[in-house]
Amino acid sequence: MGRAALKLVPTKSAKTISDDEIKAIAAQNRDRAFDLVVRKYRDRIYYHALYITKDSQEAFDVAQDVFVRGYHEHRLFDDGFRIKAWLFRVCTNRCYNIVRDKHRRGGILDRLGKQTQVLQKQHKAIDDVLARELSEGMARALDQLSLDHRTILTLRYFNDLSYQEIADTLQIKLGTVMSRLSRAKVRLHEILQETEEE
Amino acid sequence: MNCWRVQNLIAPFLDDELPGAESEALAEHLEECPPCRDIVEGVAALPDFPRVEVDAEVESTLWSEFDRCLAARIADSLVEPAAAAEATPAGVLQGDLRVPRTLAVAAAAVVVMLVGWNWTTYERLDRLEASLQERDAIIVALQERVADRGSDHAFAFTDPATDLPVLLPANAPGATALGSTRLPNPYRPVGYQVAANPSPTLIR
Repeated sequence: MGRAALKLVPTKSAKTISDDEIKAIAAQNRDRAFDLVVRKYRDRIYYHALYITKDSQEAFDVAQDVFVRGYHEHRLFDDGFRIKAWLFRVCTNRCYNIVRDKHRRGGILDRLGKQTQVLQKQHKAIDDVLARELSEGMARALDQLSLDHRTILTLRYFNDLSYQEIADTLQIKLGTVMSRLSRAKVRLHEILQETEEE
Repeated sequence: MNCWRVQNLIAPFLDDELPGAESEALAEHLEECPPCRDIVEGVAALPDFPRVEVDAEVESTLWSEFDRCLAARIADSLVEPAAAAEATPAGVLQGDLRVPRTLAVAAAAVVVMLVGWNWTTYERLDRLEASLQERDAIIVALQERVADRGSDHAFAFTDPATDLPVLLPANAPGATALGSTRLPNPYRPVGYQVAANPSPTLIR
């Protein structure tokens, strides 16, 4: 590809711009459109990864991977391409791999040593907040759910994805989205009840 | 609608994502089923999804670092393919014929195995052919001796002790008379058959 290295330019309207508007911009300036995609979705992708991996450093790396892949995804601005569902799908798959791959633990420690001190400080601050929240109430109950249930609840109630977008993200049927979401909520209710009884 | 079905549709029911007919059927079920009603009410009363409240300053620094790292990683990803193409991978041959070294080693191993297998096969065939020729020579010699002794002896069976054909009197049970013709095919000696119930008499 002959494109120059990306230059991220601050954008005020990135949060409110629609994906279709971004695609229209991409026809004129792909890097500018990609910059808007990053600014629109980076925090949602990062926090989605944070809720699944429960590790700020991991979430940061996953989010970076997602957008690097997005930059090289030729279909990203094609008509009919679902940018949001694609980003969340890549993110979810990466997170699943990380959570399921326990051997990765050693690699994380190696990478942490390479991080700048500034970034390490931010990760520690976020991990502290996350650990504090996960130790009580609703967050603690969420933490006890299975990976599938936690993921689908995060997609729906944290990232506000529609049922169809969740189906596209997880590549499952709409009916499965409905039943998995329902079962996740019922299980969450049961865990909270058990906690109250204790 | 049964209880199992209701519990699989609670989320879309509460999120108003359920088609009208199914939503009505579910509502009817809830009126008649107190356990399901308790579950739906409990799920409906769940607290809001928790959000990690990160300090604004921490988040601001995080995003500026995020943008900086991402720009660097994308720049690296654009350089890497070009560098990879320029680097000469370890391999054998040149140009379009270049193949990875591991592939070349594997191919060489396969060739050595095939050659070895062929060689051992030919060795075994040679030995088999030599033994057949030796046997034919013995048979021919025996035929000549039979011819010298006249027609009162014939082949009957192979003696297990010497592994050689045994001559029997021509009138012995099971003895097969030999003609005067020599063996037409050295690999398939004919002229004698195993007697069904022989009574061997060894040649002296």
